[in-house]
Amino acid sequence: MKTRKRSACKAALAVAITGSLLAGTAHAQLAGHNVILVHGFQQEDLANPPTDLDEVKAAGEDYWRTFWLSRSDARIDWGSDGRVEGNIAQQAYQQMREISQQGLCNDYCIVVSHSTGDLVTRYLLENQARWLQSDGLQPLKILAAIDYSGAGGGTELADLALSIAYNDSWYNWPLKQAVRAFTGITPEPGKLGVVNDLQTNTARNLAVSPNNVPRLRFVAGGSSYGGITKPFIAGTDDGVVPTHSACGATTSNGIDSCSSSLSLAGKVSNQDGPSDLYYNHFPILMNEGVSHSGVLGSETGNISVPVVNDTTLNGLRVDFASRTYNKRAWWQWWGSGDRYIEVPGSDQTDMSTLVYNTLNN
Amino acid sequence: MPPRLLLALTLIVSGAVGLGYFLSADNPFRFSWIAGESERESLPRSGTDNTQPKPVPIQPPTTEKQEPSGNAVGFMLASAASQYSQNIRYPTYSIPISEDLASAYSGNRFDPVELPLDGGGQFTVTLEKYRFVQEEDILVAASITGSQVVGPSLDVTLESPESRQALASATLKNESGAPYYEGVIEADAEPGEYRLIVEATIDGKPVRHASTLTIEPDLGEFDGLGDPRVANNDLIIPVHFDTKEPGFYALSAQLYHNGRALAQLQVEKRLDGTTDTLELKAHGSVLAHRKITGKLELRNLQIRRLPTSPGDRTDYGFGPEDGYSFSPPDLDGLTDSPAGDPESEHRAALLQRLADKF
Repeated sequence: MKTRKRSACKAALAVAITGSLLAGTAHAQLAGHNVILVHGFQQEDLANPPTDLDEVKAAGEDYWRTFWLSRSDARIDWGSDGRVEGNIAQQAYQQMREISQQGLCNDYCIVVSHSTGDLVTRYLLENQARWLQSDGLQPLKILAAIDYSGAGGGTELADLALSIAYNDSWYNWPLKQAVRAFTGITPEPGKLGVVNDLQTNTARNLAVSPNNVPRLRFVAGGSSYGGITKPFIAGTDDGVVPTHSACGATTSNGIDSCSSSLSLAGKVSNQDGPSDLYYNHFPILMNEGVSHSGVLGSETGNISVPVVNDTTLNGLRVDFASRTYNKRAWWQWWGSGDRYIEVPGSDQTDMSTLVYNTLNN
Repeated sequence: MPPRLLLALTLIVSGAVGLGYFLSADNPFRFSWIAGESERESLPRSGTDNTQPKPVPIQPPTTEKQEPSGNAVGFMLASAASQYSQNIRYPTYSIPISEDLASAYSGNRFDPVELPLDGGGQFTVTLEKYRFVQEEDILVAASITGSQVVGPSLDVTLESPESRQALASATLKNESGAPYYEGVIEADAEPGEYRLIVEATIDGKPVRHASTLTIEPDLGEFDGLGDPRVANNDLIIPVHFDTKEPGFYALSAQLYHNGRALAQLQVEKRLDGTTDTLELKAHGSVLAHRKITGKLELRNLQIRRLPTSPGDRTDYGFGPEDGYSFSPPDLDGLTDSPAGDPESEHRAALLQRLADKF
């Protein structure tokens, strides 16, 4: 989820340049494949619902401006005031039709999603082939999805937002402030839009059937909103999305890491990891320091950690010792310290640049 | 040397050594309560989990950060490509599952929803499931922990999210000192999404716990299984379903043997009234390497009427609680050979080409 400031001028300008943007990004590929962006929850849409699809698209464009916009070939934008099985599906499908008609995914696209975009993508993947074929169009061929801070498993903040909407103003002040920070509004029944879909039970009962599109998961663990939301999310989190969701864990039980032997910070130690992962969900990187929206390219200085479950690949042993280091805490006077694993140099860049540069290497 | 002085010296020396060890980085019990990062020493969960990673072998310690010798992100992508290549040995209509995956894909699951209370307590509501069919009883259980003073009963209301009209209400009672409140409310409403609001009086003030459930239309009747057969390296299991309305339907179920989950099966088909049979297929790759004796079972049958157009709702129906058991035909002809789905293989080849760069 990202917040944004919208103005009429800005929206009009954004709409005006949409056409030129498409032309300007015609060769913006990732590893030789066209890139489709699916953004996350935009809280501004709850306070001021977009009036039409142009406004939705303008907001979608703003969402990705930090990094991915100039590296994409198409976007699927949607209004956060709607529901996934409602306005969101309708808005998304209009754009998917265009993508199909333009043949942008004839040679397999890569979807880059953020936050609730994970859930929206999952729903669209389940239905797009049937809808497009019934309109005489080719289904989109998706090579893989790169999911940053994926909210496909929901977030406890959405569970709480619903209860807050039905309670009087006196109730539990810190919780109410956390929910306000998350939604950008004082929640009211019937005005929560896609936050309804982000309830943990609702999200985990929506379009969960296994499919053959690999979901590459990138997990953040930093703070958002000054840390006021963290106490209300199960396990570790990035201030909005719990780690159980971002990793692709099969239950909403709070977990600390995508790995049972590696913390979000890369420390080699026993962790409360997922008991299992949804089919074809592959956690790739974790980053304890980066915030929920910082994964999209705005934050550097945080170390990314490979979710190493096994250092053997195709029978060949990979020497991760060369990528590890030991560190002593301030109270440790001597000794070898704790063992950490990291992506070398990852603190010099942001998570989006890191992935983009690696794939386009 | 007087014994008292000797004792004092001994205490000082042993204290210094002990403090030194305590402050050593090699002391495994050190200051875990100070560490800012999560460092629970919990053991990995047991059970049928087959994704639990093996601990990374401990390498000889170094005291300084070392220069990288490879691309860790590339390694992870290559690892995902390798795992994906393994996964596509199985067609998506028949994938092997652990007990955890069986639970995740059984559908219709409702995990308890917690609401923090002032003073550290919790107001928790749980249901048997997330989706109910019309006129089904909804068993609601709630618990309130903490030091608050709570009334003897709780009120529960089923409410429409748009109109906020109360469609049904009931009282949850705390029978004979049980640590929870329990009651039943009827799902007597049109198909759709509803709010379940449980209201408690806590320290003299009303607190409402809201969660979501759905009421599903009657999609039709499951009419049992046809005769299973083997064809093209699949065990084909015909499932009869008498639909009320034509449409695209997706059927999923889980194949069990001797109480153990073997595979998640799924099929999608248009049912238009001329046929009422969907054929689930268990691929040879999930059966051929197993010794199957006696009956197989289909559990957690779930049928979905898929949205015809974007914006339409998906409707859900569920098979008999006990599922179906059946005697399989001779399975000797099945082989543990890869599925050979062209699109998945092409995707795997592209991913592998990407990974080969590293």
